[in-house]
Amino acid sequence: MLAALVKECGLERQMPSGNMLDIRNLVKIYPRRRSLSAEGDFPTGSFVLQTGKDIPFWKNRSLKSGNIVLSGINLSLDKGDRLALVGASASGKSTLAKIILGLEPISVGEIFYRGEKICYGHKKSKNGALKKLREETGLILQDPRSSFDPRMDMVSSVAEPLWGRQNIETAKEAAEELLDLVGLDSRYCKSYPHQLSGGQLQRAAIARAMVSGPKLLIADEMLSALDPGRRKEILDLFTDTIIKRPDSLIFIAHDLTAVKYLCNKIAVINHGEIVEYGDISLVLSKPQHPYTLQLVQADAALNI
Amino acid sequence: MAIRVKDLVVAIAGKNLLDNISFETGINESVAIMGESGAGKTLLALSLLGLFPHNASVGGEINIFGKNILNLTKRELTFVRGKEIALVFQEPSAALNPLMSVYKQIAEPLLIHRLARAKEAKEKAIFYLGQVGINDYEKKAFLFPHQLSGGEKQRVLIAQALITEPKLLITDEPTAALDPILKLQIIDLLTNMTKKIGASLFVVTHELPVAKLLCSKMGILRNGRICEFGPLDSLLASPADDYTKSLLTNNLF
Repeated sequence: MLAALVKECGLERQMPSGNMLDIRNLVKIYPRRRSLSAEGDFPTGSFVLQTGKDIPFWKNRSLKSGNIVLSGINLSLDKGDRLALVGASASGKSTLAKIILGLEPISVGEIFYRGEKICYGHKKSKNGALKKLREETGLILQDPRSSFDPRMDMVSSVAEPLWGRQNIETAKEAAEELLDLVGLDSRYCKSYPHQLSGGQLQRAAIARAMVSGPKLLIADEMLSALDPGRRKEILDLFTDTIIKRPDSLIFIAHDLTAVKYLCNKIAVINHGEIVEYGDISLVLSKPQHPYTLQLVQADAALNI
Repeated sequence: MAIRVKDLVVAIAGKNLLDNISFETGINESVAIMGESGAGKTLLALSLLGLFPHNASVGGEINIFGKNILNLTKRELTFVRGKEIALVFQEPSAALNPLMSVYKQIAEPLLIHRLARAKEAKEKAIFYLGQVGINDYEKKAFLFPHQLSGGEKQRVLIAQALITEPKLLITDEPTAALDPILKLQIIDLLTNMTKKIGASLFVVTHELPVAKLLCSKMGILRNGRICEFGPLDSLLASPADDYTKSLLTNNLF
């Protein structure tokens, strides 16, 4: 009876049930004008949010004078989805990844991880969802050189995500196993980052992201810093062995070739908004938005 | 003859980084040099300007428009660099001076080579900024590099290189780390501008599509040696070297 009433009035908390990750009406604004580009790409000044929600007054001031990096982002990621985030540089792709991991605060909006709301900022400690998300997420960054501690050998670096969860011996064994899987055998286990090439380091970075058995893997421009031969290797590695393991993947890229290989869904971001979202073959074969069209054409022209 | 390199050897501590490199290119011809990272592509590009690592020993001959670069004195080299041979660097944010406004940096080669007086140079710099396709260029000329986007900075570097109307333009990975739309724009820009000025183009790249779109000749560099050199079409149609073959089969990017 009560439940029916609640449902009728729309008071029911709309909980995303089976989805890994849900992003609702996300807006990210840098409080002060931060010059990302001089083109005035981002609409600045006052604007009307399309979220249908009142904005708390203390946010109002910063919203009026801020630089909008992401606005009105709605995304949901099911189990087994491999989502590509594609867009020009400085369109907010990496910021979105950072937001998902709780490395950047958000201005407006909600993010749910497996049905639980992730709280950011001062509320962080009250809710275990962010901790859970971070435990179950692997991250691969663009530049492998700057993502490894130069004073740690490969095994320790790769085993680091397991510290505090397992004892050191089993963690190191798991790390060695994964290093072997990505094609770095025992010779490389004791070597330091400066002794390895960019491609080898990126392999190690993949191993490190995989070592805790993540349910969600975020790869931020994983291939950009590598040359074509290495890219092919890493991509093959990804498709052959890695891709079966995590439940979901968010793959950030600015060229479409790798995306076509890896992903089944695509979200095209332009100036902080998702302009197109859907099944990858559908979006790329029938682009609706002018930016997507431009992107597809440029990609075709470059792949003659 | 635009470039004639003969038996060029660059060695550091007994190790040959460039080994017996010989090739020739004609005037108004565009050449691409491809290879893996660490093959010596950038070193070869810098060698054409006489920019060697300080402890390198150099042998051979580099002839550019009839001048042997290796025999020139420091002072003579200064007259050649920027005026006859211009260079566009790989990383625009590292190549631009953060403390200098954009138009001053573009005008700098004109002032150094005494091709124009300050006021004239400023006007020309702003004009060239428009030529390379930056919108709102009259305002942006007075900005600093950090206020521009990556694609704009790349364009600024191209304007800076082209302002003296050089006979040879050397570009080191002009499109690395740009998104496909910007990449295509920069390629268009380079072809148009070099045609307009009548400059030869020397492109170092590791992306096959870039080489295909920009150049008519191609050389493949591997471990400091040129393993193939010739017209791009015939080289791609019938590759002799294993590396070229693997390049074609791995044509992913």
